[in-house]
Amino acid sequence: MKKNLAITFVLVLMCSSLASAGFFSDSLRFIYTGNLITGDTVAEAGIQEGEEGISEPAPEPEPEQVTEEPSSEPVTEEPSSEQTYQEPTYQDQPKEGCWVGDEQVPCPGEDQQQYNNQPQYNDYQSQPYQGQQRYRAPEQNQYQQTVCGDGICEGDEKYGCQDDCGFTSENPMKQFNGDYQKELYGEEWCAGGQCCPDGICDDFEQKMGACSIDCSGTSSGGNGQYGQQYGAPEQNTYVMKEEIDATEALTLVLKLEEIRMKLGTDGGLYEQIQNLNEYCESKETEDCSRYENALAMMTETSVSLETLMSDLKSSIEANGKLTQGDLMKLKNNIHNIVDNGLLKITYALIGVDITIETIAVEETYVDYQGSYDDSYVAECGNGLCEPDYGEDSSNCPNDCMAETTTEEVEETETTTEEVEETETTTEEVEETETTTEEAVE
Amino acid sequence: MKKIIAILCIFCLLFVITGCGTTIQNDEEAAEEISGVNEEISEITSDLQEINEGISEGSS
Repeated sequence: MKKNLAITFVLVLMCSSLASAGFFSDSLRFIYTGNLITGDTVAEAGIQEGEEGISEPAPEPEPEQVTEEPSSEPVTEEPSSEQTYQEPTYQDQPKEGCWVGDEQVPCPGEDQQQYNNQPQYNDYQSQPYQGQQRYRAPEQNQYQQTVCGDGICEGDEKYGCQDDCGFTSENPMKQFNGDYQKELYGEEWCAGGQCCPDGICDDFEQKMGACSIDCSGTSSGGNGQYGQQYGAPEQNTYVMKEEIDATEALTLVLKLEEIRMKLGTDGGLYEQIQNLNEYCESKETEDCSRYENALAMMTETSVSLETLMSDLKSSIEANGKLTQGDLMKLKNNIHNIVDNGLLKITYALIGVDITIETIAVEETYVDYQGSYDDSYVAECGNGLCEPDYGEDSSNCPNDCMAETTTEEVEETETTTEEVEETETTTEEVEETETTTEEAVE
Repeated sequence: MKKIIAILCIFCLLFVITGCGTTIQNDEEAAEEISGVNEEISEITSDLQEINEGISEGSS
């Protein structure tokens, strides 16, 4: 009897010892998660299902899975580095829309959306881990035979590829007066000499949505001059929701919590970088400060996410929803976290000397005054209201909210002061920021 | 006495096994780990962008 008890005791100790060391966490994860395929926890899966509910009608089949590109890691099923965003492409709803025979053509009013969704991600183009930024028609949409963006207007591209078939500053008239436009929009195209682009969004163009350069601002209250003034009509394809209800808002917060946990000190990412750091130190042949910097930056990003979540939860508790102001703040801070957090983590990992600093959670959207040079041209739709560069609520309601209440004005003023306080001068950097060397110490 | 020694040996063996299982042993494993880190960061960025899209709506 005693022997049995002793053996049982030893076995229990063995198992607990293995479990505490994380031996089961990777290969045998399915035992306690119940998910044989990926090993993801049920909680994670639940959150992922929730996120589908809050997002735009997102494409369900992921591009990488459809094309089945060869990967260097065939075992993993996680999205590759190219899957930085899911573009709303034609393949999402192949049977919806307008069809001429086997060809899908833009419905009236839809042509600006088809390809112009992409520029919303322009803010992320500088990030090294996002390799896939341009359309690759054969892989991602129904135009299998042609490549949009190769400078040649061919095949079905004339129905949707603005990069190749016009809408360019170098040759804005290209294809605009051609037969295919008349085929799409009728004989009224260019009738009476009112062609596209001419700086005037006439009734026909506005009604048909046929000239994004002239009419880019009309969908949200702009005028014909807007498209020429800013020269970036593609930016104006998304507008901020006025509000979202508590359920959706809480799902957003949960999603942020998931991200925070991934970035936190208990997360898998932190552990992975820590392992790399330990391996690097064990080799004693190279400078391992980059991993330490990345870890420090991850901690800062996690903290800023926590602050943002806390603010959002307060707003939900107070109002029962997230207002447009809250959403603007969220959008702005997401940009902030990506640009100042994740981007720096990546930079640190590749050995770039970064400055580790606290990521400020802005109270509302930030007016980055004085941070641009003279050649800067404001982009409507980038989430920043830039009045110094001509943006206001009349010509860019996406960035500059049209109705500003007194409270909002006060809040904005407060934020401006806070931004001034948090702007980092050289001296402040020395005082408040931890340089790479200090972090290593 | 023998039992105690046996148990200690088992524990030592376990610690060795678990220790080897959680650390990176060579450059190949390090490369895989870096790849995993890169994917994880990309996934987080993608998640944040999804949130960004979720609070916006399309306009024509």
